[in-house]
Amino acid sequence: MAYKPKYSSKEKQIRTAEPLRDTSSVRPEPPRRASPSPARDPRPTPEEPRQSQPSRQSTVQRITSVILGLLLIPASLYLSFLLLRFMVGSVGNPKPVATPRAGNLQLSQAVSSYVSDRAREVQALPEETVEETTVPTEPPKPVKVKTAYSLPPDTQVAPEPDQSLFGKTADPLALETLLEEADWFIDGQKLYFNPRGERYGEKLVNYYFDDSILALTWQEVFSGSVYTISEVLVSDASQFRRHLAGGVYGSDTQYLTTEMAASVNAVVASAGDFYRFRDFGAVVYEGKARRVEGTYAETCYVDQRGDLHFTYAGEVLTTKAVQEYVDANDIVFSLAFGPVLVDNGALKEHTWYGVGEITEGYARSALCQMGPLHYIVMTANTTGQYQDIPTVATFQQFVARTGCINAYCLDGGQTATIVMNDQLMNRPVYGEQRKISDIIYFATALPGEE
Amino acid sequence: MDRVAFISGSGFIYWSSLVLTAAAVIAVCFFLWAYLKKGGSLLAAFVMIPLALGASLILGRFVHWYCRTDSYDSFLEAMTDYSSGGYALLGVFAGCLLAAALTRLLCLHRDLPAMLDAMSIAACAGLTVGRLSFFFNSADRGQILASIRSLPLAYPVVNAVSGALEYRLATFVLQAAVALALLVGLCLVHGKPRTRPGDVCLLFMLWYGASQVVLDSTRYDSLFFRSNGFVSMVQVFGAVMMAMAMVLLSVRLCKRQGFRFWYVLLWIVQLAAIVGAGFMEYYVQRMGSAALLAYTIMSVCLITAVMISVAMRAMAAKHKKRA
Repeated sequence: MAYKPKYSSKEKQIRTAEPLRDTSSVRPEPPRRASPSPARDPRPTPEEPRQSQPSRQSTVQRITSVILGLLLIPASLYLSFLLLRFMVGSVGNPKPVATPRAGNLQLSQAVSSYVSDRAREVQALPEETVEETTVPTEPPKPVKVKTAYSLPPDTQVAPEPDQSLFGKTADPLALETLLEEADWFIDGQKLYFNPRGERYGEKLVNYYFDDSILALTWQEVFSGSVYTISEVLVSDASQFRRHLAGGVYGSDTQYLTTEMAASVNAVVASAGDFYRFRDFGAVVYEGKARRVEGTYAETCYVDQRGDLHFTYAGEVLTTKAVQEYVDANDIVFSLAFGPVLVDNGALKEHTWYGVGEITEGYARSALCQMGPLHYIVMTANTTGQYQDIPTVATFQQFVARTGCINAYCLDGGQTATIVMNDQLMNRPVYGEQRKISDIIYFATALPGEE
Repeated sequence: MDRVAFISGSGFIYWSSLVLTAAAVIAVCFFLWAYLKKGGSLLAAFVMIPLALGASLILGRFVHWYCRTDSYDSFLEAMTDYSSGGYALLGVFAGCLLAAALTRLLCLHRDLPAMLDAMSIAACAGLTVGRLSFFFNSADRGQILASIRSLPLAYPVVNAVSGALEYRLATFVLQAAVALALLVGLCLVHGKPRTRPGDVCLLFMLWYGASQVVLDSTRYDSLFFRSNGFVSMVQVFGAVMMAMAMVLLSVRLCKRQGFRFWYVLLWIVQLAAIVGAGFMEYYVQRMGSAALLAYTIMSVCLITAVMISVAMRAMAAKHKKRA
């Protein structure tokens, strides 16, 4: 049914012809409201005795308006001026920014000590050793000892890694040689990485080794999924770091993992817990409890020695309780996703978890601690012909194979990414990274060229 | 990094603050022009201006606190200490709307649609200038562009962490350009004597809402609802604004011309276009490298939906003339 306009054209015609028509044949209209008109003669006529009232009202209204205007307009102007002046001083002011690259005194001290140590080692070599050798062989290598390097806690950007020390190879012999060279650095720790182990695809291993960090990244197939594994040893806990997009806690920005890894000079980086996306768990950053919701999630904490600690759902529920835990354990930062996969060598089984989908197939990511300052970050994705994605239980089986002592699930799905030398190492869901709010990364402590 | 314009006493005055204040002044000027031109009350205007400025500051901060609670020590600190911290544009819009509503409630001026029309024009003027503040700070963070290194598409942004220059999509330039185009269009519509009060606001809701659905998606520092980390708050409100205007214009068309069956086809096309735009948003979040394709399709979809509504408005107006 067509809509009938409120005032049809017929009615309009009737209205305009109103003075001429016979009113008896037309329904009487309700009396219209008298509206004050400035053009109207204000003087009352004998036929319109009531017309003087609106006119008086109009005059009163005008006087009121003038008085109000005289009061309100200057007040309004003054108030507007004050507000605009306030805006000049406040709106658009930058928020506290990240601590930029700092002059690294500790690093230069470390370098000095390293150089002097090396010089002493070379001088200490007995010349007779060479002369007594009858068969021409390589001169014995000086025995290297780990030098203590560290990064200041307040600096955001790590030193640039030496690009010439990055490499990739599929040759087991070259990898064995690399591990032999790094033997002094590995210092007897058992690696999960096996130069002759089964690897996915071109079997390439990406590596980086300098006097402060050893990183190896490769891919393996397990239960129909491709696992990207990065095994990292560092010389100091300060090289294991957490970076938040924008450099400060609570920043507005989100970046890709590769962008953040490049901005902080990470050797190896992994997406973190995406703390801006969800409110579960305890978020600790720079040793301060920032946000706590401990009812559902298990939280992973990293202390000043680089060791992982866990709290379970319901254990710490208030900011005060978390801060006490942080102070008692020298916690530097936390990761709030979970669940815990391995705690002190024991597998932790879960049938339900408050964050994420643990019983469904999903791209997974984890941080594992193999030993002191020895870590693995890994992701499980679909790549090529391997299109299965693991449940947490399947993922846990693989994690357990590494022999780690602690392991914790990080944010999976499209967030799960591993980056080495600013290059994506795994194939994320949909084949591309997403913008996220945080990463964890491992950096060299050797000072780069300024 | 944020550039300091001058030092006043113990504090810094930043260029971006000056630009944003200039934007507010220009918005006020445009508001006065547009409002008084259509017979608005001077008294009401001067009541509205400080109300809108004050409410915008407070609500702008409130919305920012809601989205970025972690940036502040407490709610009280966020709402009382304005020396640093962010503001959300949505709060500014809410502040202006509140000022207009209060003015209407105080009976200083009964024509709310006329006030909203003037505010829409003022908003476009303010946005055109205000978005240029990105020239002086590092707020504009779109996707890194590898091949384009010049305006209007790319602008160098200093990475707050590393200090390195990154050429990123100049979202704010695009937003300023859209606001300028919208300002010109709305001024033309506003200048027509037959324009119905509220139409300028409806067109603003349509076009600005549609543009923000696309442009805010390109930003790296969008504000999100606490319960939803995928679609930004601006995108949601942009879509709501657009949908509201579409519904109002459809209702008006039906009232003026009566219901015709082929309107359903128009609504289906509009709905399909909106769903298409929504899907492209979903797509671009997963396939960032196909951003150009996704945003192009999204724009085409939204422009189609908006143009249908604009046509509906024209059809309703034609009927009015005939009547």
